[in-house]
Amino acid sequence: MNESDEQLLSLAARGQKIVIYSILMNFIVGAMDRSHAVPAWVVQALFLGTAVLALLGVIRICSGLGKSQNYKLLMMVLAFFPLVNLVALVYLNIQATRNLRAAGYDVGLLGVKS
Amino acid sequence: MMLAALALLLLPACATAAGLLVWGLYRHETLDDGALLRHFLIFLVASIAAAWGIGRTEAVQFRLHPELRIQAEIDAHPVYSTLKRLAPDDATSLLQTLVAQTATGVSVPEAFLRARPLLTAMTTTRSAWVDQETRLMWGRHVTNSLKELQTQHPELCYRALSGQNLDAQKFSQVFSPGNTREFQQAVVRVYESAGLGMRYNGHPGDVRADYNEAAAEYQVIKDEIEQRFGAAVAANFSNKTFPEVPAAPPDQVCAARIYQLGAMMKRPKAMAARLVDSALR
Repeated sequence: MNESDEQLLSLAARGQKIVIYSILMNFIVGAMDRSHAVPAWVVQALFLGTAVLALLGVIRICSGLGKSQNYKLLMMVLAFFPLVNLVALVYLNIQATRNLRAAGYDVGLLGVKS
Repeated sequence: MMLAALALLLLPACATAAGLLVWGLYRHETLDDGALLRHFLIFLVASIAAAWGIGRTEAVQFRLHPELRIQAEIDAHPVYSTLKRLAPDDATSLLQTLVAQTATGVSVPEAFLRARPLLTAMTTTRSAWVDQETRLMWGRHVTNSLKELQTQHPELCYRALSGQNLDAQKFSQVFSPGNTREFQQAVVRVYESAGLGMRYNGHPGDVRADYNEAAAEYQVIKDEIEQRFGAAVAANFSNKTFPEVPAAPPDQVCAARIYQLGAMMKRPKAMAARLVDSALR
């Protein structure tokens, strides 16, 4: 594996961590929303923050896996569709895990183990 | 339900618009990750702002909240706006009736038609404070309306003059558009005149007819009714009560009322106004 491939996989690994955290954040903010214990504007702000985090993760994974600009855009748009966003994020996560494991990385539940 | 669905679809729709814009504008060049994210977010925020702005327009608000459109239509109606300005309590009663009618799915103009019995009763009460010209105008309008009812539905004509058991829906369908327009103009004029009468404690230009002379004229007309329509019909006009089941044929009572109002309005203005007021209230 050359240095460029190493950099790309490192980018995918960082993106995967961000995506995993954004999936977890999605569930936590969803629970907050349903509990009605947190003001609505806080929940909205957290949802927006989670979406931006997911976008960042999506872009990094896509770049790390060498995906096209159109593919990145499609994934960024899907990140805003309820339920579809989770499916898209999980799909990207699986792809990233497969590539990272093939390159010899040790991938756990929360991404690559440092 | 529709609002919740729209709120749910708003962000995906805006994200799709942002994605399409970025794709359309930069499809021939390759952006680095930072630029791609920045452009996408800029277009996303712009789409959300545009959607919010469009959502605040009157046309969209009226589609999303039909009750706002109904309220705006009611507010713009000359009868309601006049009542709201000059008689807020009457406006509240009218609004309650209109809201109840529109809740059943009828349009605002139709709801106003169905509120006619209530408006007639309120306007008749208000006519106590109007000037003589307006009182005669109201009397002429009542006469014209009774004539329309008499030709189409004598039973309804009797119910209208007695103010009993009026089926709002049936009542709203029998009047011609011209009569409805005239009725609404008459209501506005009565409320305007009553407002002035209440504010200035009467109308300075009006000369009141003598009470005893008016009573004598009333009796003369009642005798004429008795001669023309019989004692049973005339009895209704002496005590000014109309039983739920008419003692005489409804069309006869109706014709007698039309005759009574016509005869009253042939008198000099001051006398005619006093007699019409006495007959209608």
